[in-house]
Amino acid sequence: MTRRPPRSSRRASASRLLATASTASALALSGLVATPAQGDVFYVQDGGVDDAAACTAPDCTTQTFDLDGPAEVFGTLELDTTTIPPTLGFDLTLWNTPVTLVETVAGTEDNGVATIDFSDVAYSAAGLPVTEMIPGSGTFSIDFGATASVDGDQAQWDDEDLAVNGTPAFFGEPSAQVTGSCLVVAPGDASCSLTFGTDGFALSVGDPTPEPRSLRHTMNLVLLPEPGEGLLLVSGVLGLLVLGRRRIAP
Amino acid sequence: MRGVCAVGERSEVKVSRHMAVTRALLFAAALLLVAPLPSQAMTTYTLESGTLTLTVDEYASGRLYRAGDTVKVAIDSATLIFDPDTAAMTVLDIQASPFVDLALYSSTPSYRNDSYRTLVIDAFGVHATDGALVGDGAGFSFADGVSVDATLGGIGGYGVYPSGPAVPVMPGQLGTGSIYGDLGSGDTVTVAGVARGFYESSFNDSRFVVTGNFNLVATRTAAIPEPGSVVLFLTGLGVASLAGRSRGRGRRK
Repeated sequence: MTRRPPRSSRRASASRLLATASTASALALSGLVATPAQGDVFYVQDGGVDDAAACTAPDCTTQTFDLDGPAEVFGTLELDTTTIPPTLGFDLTLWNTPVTLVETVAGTEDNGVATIDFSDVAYSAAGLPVTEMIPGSGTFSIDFGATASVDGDQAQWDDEDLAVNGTPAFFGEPSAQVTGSCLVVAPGDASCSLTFGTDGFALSVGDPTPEPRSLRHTMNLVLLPEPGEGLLLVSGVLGLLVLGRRRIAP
Repeated sequence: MRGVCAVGERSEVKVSRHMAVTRALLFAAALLLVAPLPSQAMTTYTLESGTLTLTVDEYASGRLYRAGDTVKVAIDSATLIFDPDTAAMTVLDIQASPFVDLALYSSTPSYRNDSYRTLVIDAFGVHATDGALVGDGAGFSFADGVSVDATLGGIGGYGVYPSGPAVPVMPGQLGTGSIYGDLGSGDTVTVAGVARGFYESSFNDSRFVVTGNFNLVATRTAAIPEPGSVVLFLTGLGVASLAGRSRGRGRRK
């Protein structure tokens, strides 16, 4: 099972990203790279999965598992308003805490399962059509019928904390229904709510005969802007200057 | 001579009355033909059970902050009116009275300024009209006609700020949501979606974004069939003819 990189390695990767961005901006400055028209890229600043459920059917009239506690999410969202219709894409991953679902009534296992852990889950989609609810308002709703991929690791445990159903194991859903909306409060500041499932998001739960359970993960995110292009440009130029000085120095 | 004249006048009056009644009936029939008949497929669903997950963000000094922990509360009431024939969701109404004292995170501007450290959420409601069913009835969408109301108060270093209706910065937003269940069958349906309001703070320069994720199960209310216009018209005709007959009999006697 692949473990999520610790925070230190995230910083390292961020440094690499910044270095790459600096180089790219320097190249852009020299006119060697054409800058494509892109949408606004937002970074997750806060929030995560704060509602989740497992049910016996997609209508969720019988819910057997509920979310134990919130699970942080990190990643990026891209809202492109230059296209018609506007589109939304995202690449989100669970942070340190797994999404843990626990039995709705303590001591009543669902098909022999008391807890389901989802870890290292990635939620991804690109180019989902969205509609601006009121033109110019900055409120964008994902058009109905959109899907996203959801994959990661899942583990099922009974009341004795013993693994069930051959888990931990990988799971992958290529077409989980995704609904929700975003509010761009100010340029670069946005609040997004995304719900994955229950359509297209299911898991076989229990032992000895696993039963299908429909899943739903809802996340509410606070988003901040991508570092400005100007900032990247300046940092790139400064980086080149520093490198140049070092080379010139005896 | 006088008597003959009187009989002639009576018969003329009778004829003119008969013509007037006939004209009125014809006019009513024409009106019925022209007027659009109300849809017979309009169905109303009311809440069986449901939850609302509330998330609050604070916008101040050009930046958005998560204000506090997400809270999950029960929905008090919900009314949904569908018309599957015209693929319309004419009403979506949800009310909740959370009475939540939300402890603000220490990172929020309101907490740092000591304006208030607790946001009181006394009510949250969604009212939307003229929506559309999408995805063959598996989803819904509201373009406008949405209001998302909240009743907010605060508790801070300078005392308690009384609870009152929050003033929206912009019209409420209701994102595209999902529906499970056959609207025509009369079985229960489950409806999920997200509503968002963006409000001025009554207490400082902040603004609050309140997001409500709702999941509810609704049951169809017993439909009281509206008598059709044609039935009403025929009943009216019947009553008129009976009245005419009884009058006629009375005169003969």
